[in-house]
Amino acid sequence: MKKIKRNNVLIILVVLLLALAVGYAAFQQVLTVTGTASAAGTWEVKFIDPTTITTGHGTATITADDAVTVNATLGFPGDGCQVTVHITNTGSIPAKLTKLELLNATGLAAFADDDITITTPAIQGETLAAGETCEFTFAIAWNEDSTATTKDVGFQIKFTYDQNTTPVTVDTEHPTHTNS
Amino acid sequence: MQKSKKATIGIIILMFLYGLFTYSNWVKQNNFIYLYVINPVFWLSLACILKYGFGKTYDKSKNKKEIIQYCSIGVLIYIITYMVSGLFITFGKNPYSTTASGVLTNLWILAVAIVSKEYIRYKLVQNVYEKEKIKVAVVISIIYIFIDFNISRFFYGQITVFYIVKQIAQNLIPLIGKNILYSYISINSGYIPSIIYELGTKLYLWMSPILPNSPWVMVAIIDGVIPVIICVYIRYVNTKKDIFKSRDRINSTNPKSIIPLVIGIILAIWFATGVFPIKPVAIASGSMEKELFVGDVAVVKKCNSNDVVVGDIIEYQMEGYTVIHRIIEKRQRNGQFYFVTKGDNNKLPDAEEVKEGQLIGKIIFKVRYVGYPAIWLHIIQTDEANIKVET
Repeated sequence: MKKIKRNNVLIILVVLLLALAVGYAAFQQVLTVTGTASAAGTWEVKFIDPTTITTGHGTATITADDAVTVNATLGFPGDGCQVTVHITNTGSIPAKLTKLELLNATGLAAFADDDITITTPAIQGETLAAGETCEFTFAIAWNEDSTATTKDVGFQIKFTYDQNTTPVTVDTEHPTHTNS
Repeated sequence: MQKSKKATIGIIILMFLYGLFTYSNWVKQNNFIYLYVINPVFWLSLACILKYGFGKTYDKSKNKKEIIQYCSIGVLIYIITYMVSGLFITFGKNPYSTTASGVLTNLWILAVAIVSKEYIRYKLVQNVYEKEKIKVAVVISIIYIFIDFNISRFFYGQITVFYIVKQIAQNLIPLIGKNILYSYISINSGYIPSIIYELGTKLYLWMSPILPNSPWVMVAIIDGVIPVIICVYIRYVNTKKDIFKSRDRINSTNPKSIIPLVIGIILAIWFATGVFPIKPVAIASGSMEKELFVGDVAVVKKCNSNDVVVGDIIEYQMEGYTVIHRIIEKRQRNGQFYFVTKGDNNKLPDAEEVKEGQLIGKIIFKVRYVGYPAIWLHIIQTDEANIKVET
């Protein structure tokens, strides 16, 4: 490629990049931003096994790195169960969990069921050093006043995270986080 | 300074031992000290030792400015490709800290190592005679890949074939591609172009507040292909400028013929992974026979509930999978649309109404049989990922 042509290509690409950056800034309110982007290589924070639910109450399955799908069956009003999940940081940079989302079974909207109460542990600010794993427990409870005879509950648990820039000590016995 | 093979071998052994150290329990327990102190200081110190220990290096490259321009073009294409793809898929929040202090922190913990490593690669390669440069470059590349690939990720959780394939495609192959490029540059054109490419692509990752939620296949293709294309271009430039090379030899290295092929492959991968407003879906059941058979590919155009009518075949989201059925009734309640759907080959309509939030798109045309490879791959993936706990 001739020098003039290369210079022209460089200029065009720089202008295009600037235009995209300005466009992003101008239209950021209409851009759909969901969850934490998967920046390959350095980052890998994800759910891992074991993922369990109280015996006899259904299944809890990892359906994506950042998502666990729970299908719980409750036998009577007032019945409840617990779901235990593990989040690990297999990347090389310390992470800090920022948010936990409860979504419906398809993952397209927030979970909403007036008869069901899902109590989530406080994870905001929880740090995960590289190689560290954390355990979280959720409680699912069926409203005692419900008149149905059985209840099937389906929902997704998703988390977001970002970089932790403060000193963190790896705790081999990372405490379990249960619902508050 | 006289070239010293022994010194080069000694430094390479030191880097290999350091690579083993990075996988030790001590590093795992003291990750913060390793990341913020040991790693940047080690690479910076080694680079300084080579600079002052090996003395000035006289390389024979005559095309430095051209190579720098090619690498700069590669960086811009890389960033623009990702930014444009974000318009078709969703964005996610950048996990890197993008505050001023966070960027400075990442420049220290990450950029220092990047710059130092490329300088070290260059100095070690230039410190041996011509016939041994490729061997040294290959060994250094293997050590760098060993360190950067982070094989300890395979020791967590249940490892499936799909996970291994994904890690190889998303991480290992791009690392190999980049190390091929940087090795070629270090042998022929210095170290500045390598630093420009690696830092340029990483700065985008470190500083952009949002990043596209790119499918791993797209990351694998872009991160793996662009460095190889740049390498091919640089080789062509060096060959063209070599007055001892024949015209046939020069033409054989001309990369212009492969660029359209590579662009076509990238666009095909994007299409297959659903980046564009239309995407292919493999049919895995016979519920829509005789319209759609198992193994067919249905091309779905993304749309909303206003764009579909009774009789359209739509794709909608269920828990963990999607369904392609025909709309037999369209209802509206409280300002929301609901669809009653049915497979053409099913006796009864689907048990639950489809909410408009579940609608993905409608089928615009189909291709027979070409969906079988995707179905087989999905069978392998879902069988290995099925880790439901028995109740």
